[in-house]
Amino acid sequence: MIPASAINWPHPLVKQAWDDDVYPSGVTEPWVQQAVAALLVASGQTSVLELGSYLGLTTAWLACALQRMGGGILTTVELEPERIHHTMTLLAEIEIDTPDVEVEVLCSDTILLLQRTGLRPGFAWVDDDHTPAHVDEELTLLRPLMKPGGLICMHDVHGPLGLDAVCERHGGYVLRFPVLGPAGGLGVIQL
Amino acid sequence: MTDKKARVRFAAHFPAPQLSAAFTDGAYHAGATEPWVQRVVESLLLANGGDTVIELGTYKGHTSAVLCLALERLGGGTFIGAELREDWAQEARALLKVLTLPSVQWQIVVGKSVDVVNAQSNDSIDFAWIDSDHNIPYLKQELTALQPKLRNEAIVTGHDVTGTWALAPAFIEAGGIALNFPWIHAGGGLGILQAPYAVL
Repeated sequence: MIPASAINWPHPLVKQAWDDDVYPSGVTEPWVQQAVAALLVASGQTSVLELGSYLGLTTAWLACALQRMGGGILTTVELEPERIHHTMTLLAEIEIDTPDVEVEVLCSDTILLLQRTGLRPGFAWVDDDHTPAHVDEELTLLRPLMKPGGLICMHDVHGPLGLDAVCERHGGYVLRFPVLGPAGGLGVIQL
Repeated sequence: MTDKKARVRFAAHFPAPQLSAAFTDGAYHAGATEPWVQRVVESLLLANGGDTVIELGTYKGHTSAVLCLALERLGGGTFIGAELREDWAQEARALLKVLTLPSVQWQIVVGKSVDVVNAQSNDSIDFAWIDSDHNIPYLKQELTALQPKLRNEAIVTGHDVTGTWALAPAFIEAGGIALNFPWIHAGGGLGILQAPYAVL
């Protein structure tokens, strides 16, 4: 297990979620979130698309990273109304600390959105329906939308879900990190 | 990206004030790894965990400092830096000495990086950062020398995979990835490999 001291929490409410044991319910591990935020900052990309917000904790990491970069646009897509409620509540609570980040929360099936969107993200975080066929279709639709040099990061590519092969088939690399649940890790694809 | 924009965008992203001052003074622009790449390297070490880190090519110690501070946050450990030039090794030592690293045992060894790697025990290293002699054949020697020294799922990272030095092929041939990020000098980017990787 990675110690909490290894995490530079982006906001007290995110740390609170860790202290309250919310993360083991399926949230991306904070050490993976930290790496994703570092990759976003390094990429210099300021338009971010998140597919699958769950409780909004990674959304918060991405928003805080964008704020540190001077601001940007964050679009997050989630199908489940209850998860959208959690995400919007958390984003509202951190809004005062992310004044230069324009956030849009969309209730949609990610495939339908990717089929019709005019978005041109420079950075994408993929962590929704974990079936390989779904993720494969997502990446097939997402890659042409991305800005040249943009980054796609994926969760749960390490473990029993079979997403490692999907990531690699799309030219990505799979990093295996300690997990909180049955799956975890980080997939990275650069366009 | 211009230096001015980079200064604004990344000004708050240093794990120690000495590194922020070095960036402001222009020390990074002489060849040190970009601070945003350092933070990715740091985040990979923190995400994977471990207690033994080796750096091949410390230069003036900026990335050494980032790695040692990350080790401290992980609970401590051992840091071995290899540097061919004594003057740069001295600068790296001087920087590490002023940091608060009570749980990190660090040393900067003057010598050829492959020799320093070969002196390590097998199955002993959790994380490696390579930024030494910038040519592909030598980088392959380093990656080959590291293989038996790495613990399972150890991470190897390297600088300058894009730009003038274009070291990406060494990482890609080993099965890894080379990422391009904004530069502040003639090259940059980040190569990543996780053990076990393909024999070169």
